[in-house]
Amino acid sequence: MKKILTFNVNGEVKEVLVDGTETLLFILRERLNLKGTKEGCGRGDCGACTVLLNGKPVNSCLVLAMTVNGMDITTIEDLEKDGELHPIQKAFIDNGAVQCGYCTPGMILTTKSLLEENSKPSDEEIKHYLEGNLCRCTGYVSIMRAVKSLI
Amino acid sequence: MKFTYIAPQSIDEALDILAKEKGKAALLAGGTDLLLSVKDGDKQPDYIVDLKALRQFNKINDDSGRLSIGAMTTVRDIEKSSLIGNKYPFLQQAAASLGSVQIRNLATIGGNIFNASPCADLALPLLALDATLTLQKSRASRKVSINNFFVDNGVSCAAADEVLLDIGIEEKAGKGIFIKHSKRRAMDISVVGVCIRLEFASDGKVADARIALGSVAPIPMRAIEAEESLTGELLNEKTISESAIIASNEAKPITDARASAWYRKDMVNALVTRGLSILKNGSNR
Repeated sequence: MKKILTFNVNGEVKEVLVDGTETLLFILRERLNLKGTKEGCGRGDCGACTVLLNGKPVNSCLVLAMTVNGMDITTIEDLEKDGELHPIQKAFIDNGAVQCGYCTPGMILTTKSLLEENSKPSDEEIKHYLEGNLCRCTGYVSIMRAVKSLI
Repeated sequence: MKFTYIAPQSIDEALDILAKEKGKAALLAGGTDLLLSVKDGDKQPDYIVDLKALRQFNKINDDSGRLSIGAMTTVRDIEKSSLIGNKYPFLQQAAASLGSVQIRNLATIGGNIFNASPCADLALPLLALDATLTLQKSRASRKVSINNFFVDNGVSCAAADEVLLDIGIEEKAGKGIFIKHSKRRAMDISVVGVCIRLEFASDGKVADARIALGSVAPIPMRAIEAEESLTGELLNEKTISESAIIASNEAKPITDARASAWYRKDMVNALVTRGLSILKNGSNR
């Protein structure tokens, strides 16, 4: 049975007709055409599907779309403003922290949340916070460098 | 995935639906376990009942020493709670060890316990703290000690029309430790989990001991005989080693993809020894 999902995506109120079994990831990509959010494992292990739910990173592959009714979602598409990349995006590019790019949207959104919670994280704190984002190119050293350049 | 999603507007409505659809409905709290089992086909519920009506049970309260943790409190909120960090750091450590920050922002303490998984990280500190669970069904509520809650792998004493509302912890003295042993340091399910809490008498002897073990039996378990072997004793190499061997004998692990049964037994011995030794040297509260 389809129901109307009303939620705020990247600052705009969206209404979407949703089947109760559809995930937030599916709705973002296939109904709202926000393809920056990636599906990796589909099991909450890899973090490629990370979005911010009311400002906090979650695995959108494990969230039923209907459960976010009335809530705020931020995807990677929200970070660039007026053609200007977000400082975290710039830091990732400047430090060579983007290789194939598949993990990058999730990696950047998790980093955004980390730095909002803790403006001076230690190496250990960065690693613990980002452990749910896997980079299969294993570009972790560059990713650490990018995050640390922002501190 | 085939099911009907229902989001009751009140607790009463949610409980009525559960009473009516006994056994055909699955409860959705954080959803991080449920969505996986539904995606995999391990669970095929007719209904998924969203517990957002229970959202107000997401707080950690200190009632003159007695902690009350709402079942819908996220694992991340437990990890970040200074109240829990100050009183029971081993509970905070267990929360921080569960999944990733993305998972912890969704997963709830209630879901971690209610699923009755033998590898539930939060079950161990709650066993070590003799937590009390408040179960609610339509027009009736009851309190159950967590020591009596787990029945079998994935099975608890909760009826199909009951939900978990609150986890209560009476003020506890002493100090504790949580150790999780997994193949990878991050994002992994434990091969063996251990949580120990000790209370000491004024002469330095152990007045009361709790040793909780995870992933080594069909349920998160207490090593009761190992606990008793410590009571009235001073911690030293001999009493620690004896207790660890007893705990290892009490463990009833299976061999699975993560580890073999004998390895798990060996690790219980090693980790209980390590935990007791750290508590003896007094660095952990």
